[in-house]
Amino acid sequence: MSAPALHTAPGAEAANLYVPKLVRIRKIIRETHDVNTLQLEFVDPAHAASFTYKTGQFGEFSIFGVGEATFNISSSPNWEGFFECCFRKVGVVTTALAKMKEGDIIGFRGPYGNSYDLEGMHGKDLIFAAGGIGFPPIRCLVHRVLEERDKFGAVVIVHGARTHRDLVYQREMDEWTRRRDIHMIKTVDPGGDPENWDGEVGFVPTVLEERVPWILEREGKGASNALAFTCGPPVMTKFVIAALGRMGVGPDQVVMTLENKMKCAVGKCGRCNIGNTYVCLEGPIFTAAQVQAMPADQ
Amino acid sequence: MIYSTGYHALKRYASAEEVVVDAKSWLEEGRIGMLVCYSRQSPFTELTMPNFLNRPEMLDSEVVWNSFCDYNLLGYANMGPKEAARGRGGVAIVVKPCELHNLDILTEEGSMSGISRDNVLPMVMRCEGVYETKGLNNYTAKDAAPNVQTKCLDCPEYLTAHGDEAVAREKAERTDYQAYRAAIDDDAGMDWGMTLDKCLHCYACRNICPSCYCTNGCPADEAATTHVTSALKMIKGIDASSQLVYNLVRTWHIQARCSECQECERVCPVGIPIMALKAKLGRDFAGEGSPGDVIGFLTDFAEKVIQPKGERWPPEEPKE
Amino acid sequence: MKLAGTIRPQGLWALVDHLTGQGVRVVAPTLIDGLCQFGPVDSADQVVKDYLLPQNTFKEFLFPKEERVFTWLKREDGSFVVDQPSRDFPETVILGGRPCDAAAIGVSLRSVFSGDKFEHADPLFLERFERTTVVSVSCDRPDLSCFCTTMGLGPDDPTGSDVLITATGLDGELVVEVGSPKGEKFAQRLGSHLVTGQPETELRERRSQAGAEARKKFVRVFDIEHVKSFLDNPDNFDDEMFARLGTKCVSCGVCTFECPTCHCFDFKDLGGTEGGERVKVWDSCQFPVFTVHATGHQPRPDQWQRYRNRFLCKFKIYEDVFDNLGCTGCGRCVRDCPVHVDITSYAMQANKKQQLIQVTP
Repeated sequence: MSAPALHTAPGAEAANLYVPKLVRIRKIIRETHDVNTLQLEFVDPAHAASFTYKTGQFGEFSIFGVGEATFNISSSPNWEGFFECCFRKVGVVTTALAKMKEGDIIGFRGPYGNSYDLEGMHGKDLIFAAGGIGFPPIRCLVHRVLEERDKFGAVVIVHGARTHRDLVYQREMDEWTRRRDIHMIKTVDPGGDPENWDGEVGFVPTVLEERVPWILEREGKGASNALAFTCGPPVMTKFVIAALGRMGVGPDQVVMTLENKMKCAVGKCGRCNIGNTYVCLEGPIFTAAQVQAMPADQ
Repeated sequence: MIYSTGYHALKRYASAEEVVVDAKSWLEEGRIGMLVCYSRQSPFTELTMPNFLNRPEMLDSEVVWNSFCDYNLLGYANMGPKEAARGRGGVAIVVKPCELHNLDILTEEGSMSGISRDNVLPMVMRCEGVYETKGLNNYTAKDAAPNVQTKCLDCPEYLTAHGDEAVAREKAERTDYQAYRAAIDDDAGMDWGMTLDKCLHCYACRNICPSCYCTNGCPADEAATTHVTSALKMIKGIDASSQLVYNLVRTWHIQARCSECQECERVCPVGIPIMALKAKLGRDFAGEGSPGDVIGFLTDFAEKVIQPKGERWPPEEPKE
Repeated sequence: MKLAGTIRPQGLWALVDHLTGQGVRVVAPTLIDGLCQFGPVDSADQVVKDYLLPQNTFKEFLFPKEERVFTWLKREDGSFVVDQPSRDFPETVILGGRPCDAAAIGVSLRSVFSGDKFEHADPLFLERFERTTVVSVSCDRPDLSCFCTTMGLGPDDPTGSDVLITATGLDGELVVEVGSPKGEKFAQRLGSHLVTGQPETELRERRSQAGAEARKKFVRVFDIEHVKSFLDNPDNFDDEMFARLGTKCVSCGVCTFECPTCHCFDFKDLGGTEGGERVKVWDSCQFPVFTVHATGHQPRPDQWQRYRNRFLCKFKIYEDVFDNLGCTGCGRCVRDCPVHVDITSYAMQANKKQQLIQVTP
């Protein structure tokens, strides 16, 4: 099979920023019944060699003939040879994507958006709280943090879902549970626990409030030294931020990712703005304080 | 013009001041939560705009009634059930006599529209005709009086107000009226395929039409974008564009429920002659296919109207 | 702007014929479907000579309504080919644009697509722009919808124009001013039609007098000094005026399509399993589906919220994000809205409300 190519017609020297690069699906990991992780590699080795990104950035993934979808790049930038995205089947594009097989070709544009401020996290006690399909933007950061574990203080992860079957990244969670230098707390909603469930039962904000203050007190340097990272349905993040507030972790210490409908991802199509913030240019990573200052247009 | 006869017993208002008296007291006693009326668009022009007033003190300065009040405010009648749901009674709407037929339909279909005589109180005006403001580009008192709308020339109240002779003379002078009537009566020479293909799918016609209130999936929209267009292609071999299907299905759907207020034509940004289309459907397709048989109706239209022209359908893309 | 000289109308038409003869695309006000609109002309007699403002803007010649962004093909052996269309854009002269359009498109719209602030330069716009010369003609009168003077511009303002032509009223005299290298080139092409060497002071006097006369005729003049502060205050986002003024909007999108600063677009992926294309098409934030998420979540469910976004964009967001005016007062949205939604009434009411707050201690 001759290599798939990306042609540039004569006269088109400057990159047309709306044209995707070709990536091949190297591996599909079925996280749950409706959530998949794709491991992707660039078809053109030159693209692979020049591709860099920072933790937390996102990309636009094209299914040719169907459309484009926005996903966070859920891998650590230090992994070589491939990068990952994780998505749930909700619409036309993701349903088509879920039907693809290993070896299939899709398009990729990116990386776009801002990234986590890793240097600003050094020495801090880190709280990760995420639910269901909100976990990927947190997962890439956890991996990145664990690559340099000694640079950070206490690390607590609270990961919840409706039922145990909806928890993504099962394999990672098992690994992280076995580590002694982080606290991996998995939880399911009341009623979502199977028999012999070894995790917590309760909503993420509730479990957060029950377990985390004690861990921070024992291993951390107090609430003012904490940074929290959260992602998930708005109803969950609202209560997580409130719970954190009660623990002494204020909204400017809480980092979250904002989701908004995106198309061009380069600040031109006018779609993703919340007030005067173009999410694709200045986000999608914001502090809760920044989000609270934005108009109710989301 | 389809004229309602059911509301002749209603109180008629001759001026904005009379409207304000009643609307204010209704607002104050909580019988309505909002008055939907006409107001001046800006200090710079005589043209009006729809306005939604919920504070009694705003009524004195904002409500107007004159020949520039051209919109059919019943397009906003769905605010009645919304206000009622919020415990605020309903809305009062300033209505021209020619628009009452819309309210008849909406209340008749009350189980679907949610509209009743309790949550939409019509304030029927004494009307002597409204001006054609499309293309007027801001009008001031210094400009010559515009023409009245073509539909006014056929209105019994207009006839009463101005007299048989004057109206007959006006009809004879108004070439636009004659052209309009000609298009309604006979569409020979109209290239429906090309005309309907100008549609942008902006849905302004649907948004402004009082009879278009289907909130759980617009049948015209679904027909245009999904299985009907595919079915036409695969089963009947007809390659109909989504613009054609949308316009035909929507017009067909409101066929018997239209008061001919002409708002749809007025707001259409590309000038599709929707009233002529409605007239054509009523003339040539009445009784064709049962109301549910959309494919039958569209096939009929394609075979009798579009294809005999020998046009390629859809038309060729223009080259840049 | 530099004073280059004067021409007579005949000289301008001769140049138009010369340019079209040379294969340069000349876009000018012309009759399309009975309406005066910007469109390509083949000769000077297709140019409408007496007009106020064409109904459309010339942004569609820099930012097309539909533009193929790439095509793709799946070959028999399973390999993929993705192709970009060639960017062989024609040399273009926009003749007869007005100062409001030039400022809106040449400066504001350009800043959206340039890489100046956020690194993502769009060559589809920029390369067309490089090959386009904007030759504007000053207005001698406004109509009731025009409000460029309120926005800080004017009927003879040079912002965004490569060449500005102003009629002085003296025997058909047209003063030619040049503001850029592209403008210089155009002036040179006028050749012997361009008369130079007249007494400059008197010429300048006639030229500014013409502009001043036009300015006096503006009726839609209002204060916008406090509008941005009103919008900058997040508490005002929920002000009652938005629902009151915006409920009547029918989301037809005419305001967006006729607005010279509007830049929203969408991608449509067309084709099947073996080949297809992605097309960039104009879109409008007034359409309900504009912001709907795949999950069904709709951040702006009511029409007045969508018009609020438009007002915010034109009078605040454009400036905050792109550092340029979001509205140049061309008045098209006011003129052509079928239900008379009036962005100037939003501005006036916002200004008044803010003034009241500042006056009341």
